[in-house]
Amino acid sequence: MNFSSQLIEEAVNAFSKLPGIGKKTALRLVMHLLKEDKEEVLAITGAIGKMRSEIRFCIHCNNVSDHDECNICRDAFRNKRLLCVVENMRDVISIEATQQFSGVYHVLGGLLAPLDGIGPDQLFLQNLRDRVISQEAEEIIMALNPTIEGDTTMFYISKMFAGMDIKLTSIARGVSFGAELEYTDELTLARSISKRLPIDTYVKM
Amino acid sequence: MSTLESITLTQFRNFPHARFSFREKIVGITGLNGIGKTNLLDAIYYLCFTKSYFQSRDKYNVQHHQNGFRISGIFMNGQSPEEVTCVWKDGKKTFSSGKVPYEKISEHIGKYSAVMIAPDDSDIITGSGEYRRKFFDGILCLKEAGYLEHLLHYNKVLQQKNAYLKMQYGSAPDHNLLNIYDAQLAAHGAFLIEKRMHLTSRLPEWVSHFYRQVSSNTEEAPRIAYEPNTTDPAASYRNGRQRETEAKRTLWGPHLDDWSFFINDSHCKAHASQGQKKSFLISLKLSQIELLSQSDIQPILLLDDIFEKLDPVRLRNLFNLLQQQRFAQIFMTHTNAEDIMKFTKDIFKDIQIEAL
Repeated sequence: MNFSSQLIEEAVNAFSKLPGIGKKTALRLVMHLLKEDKEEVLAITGAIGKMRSEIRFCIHCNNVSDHDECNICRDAFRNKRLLCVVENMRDVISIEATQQFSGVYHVLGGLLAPLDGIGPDQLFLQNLRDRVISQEAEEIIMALNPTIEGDTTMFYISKMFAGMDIKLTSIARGVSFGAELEYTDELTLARSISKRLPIDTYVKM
Repeated sequence: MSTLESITLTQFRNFPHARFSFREKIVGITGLNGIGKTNLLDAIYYLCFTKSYFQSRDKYNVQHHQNGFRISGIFMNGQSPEEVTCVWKDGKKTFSSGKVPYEKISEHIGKYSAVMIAPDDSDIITGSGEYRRKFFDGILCLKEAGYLEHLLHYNKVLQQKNAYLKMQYGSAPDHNLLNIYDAQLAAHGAFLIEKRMHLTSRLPEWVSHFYRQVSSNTEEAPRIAYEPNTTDPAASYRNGRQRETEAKRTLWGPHLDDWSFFINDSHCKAHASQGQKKSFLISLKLSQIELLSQSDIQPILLLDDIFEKLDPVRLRNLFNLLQQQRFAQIFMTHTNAEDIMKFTKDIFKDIQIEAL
């Protein structure tokens, strides 16, 4: 694309570096910003810059935070002896949205996948161990993706705490809520059948 | 039983546009070198399995200087016809039945079945173990429920483990992580090994049955030996950790299994003649078809250059054998129409010659 202004071209190039945004979408966004008030636009850029420069990671759970400790870890009503291990902050948001979990999280920052260059040293595993000891954790819930990488990570963490008096659990896997058996893939259905649940635990929720 | 009634090729390999109708159960495709006999066979294979037998990159299946190809065929299932169309354009492939495109192309696989016997297949006998693993895995994936899942899972874990072993520079590896990979590999590997053993115990019976018929020689006894790289992967990983970390790759497991083929206790790879190898290969393929037909699959047989390397006696035996087998249809290529007629006309009653 040919622009009459060097400034516009720089802005378009900057926008098109973002995921899911091509040159044309970038140009549309730039044209929109051009029509806005200067103050409005500076407020937007200010928010982005401030977000990036002032963001911090929680010293306990590695989740994004405005302070040294995140809101969840500071919450006195949260059960610090119940830990939920997740891959990234998006998983924290998903689980928080369910309002079913009252413990605290531990964000690993990835899953064990040497093919992508992620080994045990690249994950927040050492401070998980420290935390489990200092907070005297009773249970660790692993909420990881049901993939080979997720399973490997889960086994690895369970080996880390082998011999310690801690309950290790994993989120249930199977037919999703509101789904129909007819459209469930065979692997999931086979697993659901072999790991079936007693009705009384099922109904209680 | 499904037969192919007609096929239309557009910009596929060397065909700008061509349409062929098949009236008979036996079709001989003749013509000079380079005219497209094998390409026509491959197009039929493509319609059955949604991919080429010879060329894994679809880009190269397109006629030179064009940007897409189309294969369309009409299969007869008893009395009801089904039109199957494949269109590949600029890297995107769509398969449709009737005029309705499949949501997932894999839904089509398994509807129609074909078995190809081509000169390149001799790699199964003379090539590296990779070709034999591919051949046996191919049979097991169709025959054994769950085999494909275990195989895919095994390969994915293997890749991760090898990547981890390569990541280690001088520092001691994390044995906890390796233990986990090894446990997963051992669990899936044990399943693969068991199924492979089971198949190898059943297959030789069929192979020698067919081999005797093709060679009309009771002196030559074929034999197949499964040579697992390890029969107890868990133990191999336990004892071989040191060597694996030094080599920086996985040294044990079914991904390194091999099979040996023998005729009268002499190794096929080293001692068999070209004709013997070809007979062995055909017996292997016929055994594969036999196993498939036990699951009620009647494939279309595609014989590429079958006249090459076989002597007249063996050829005649082969056609007699094919006549007894239950095939939906047989397509064969050869340069010379008279040869085909000479060998087949008193065995099969209706033969169609399609001269390109």
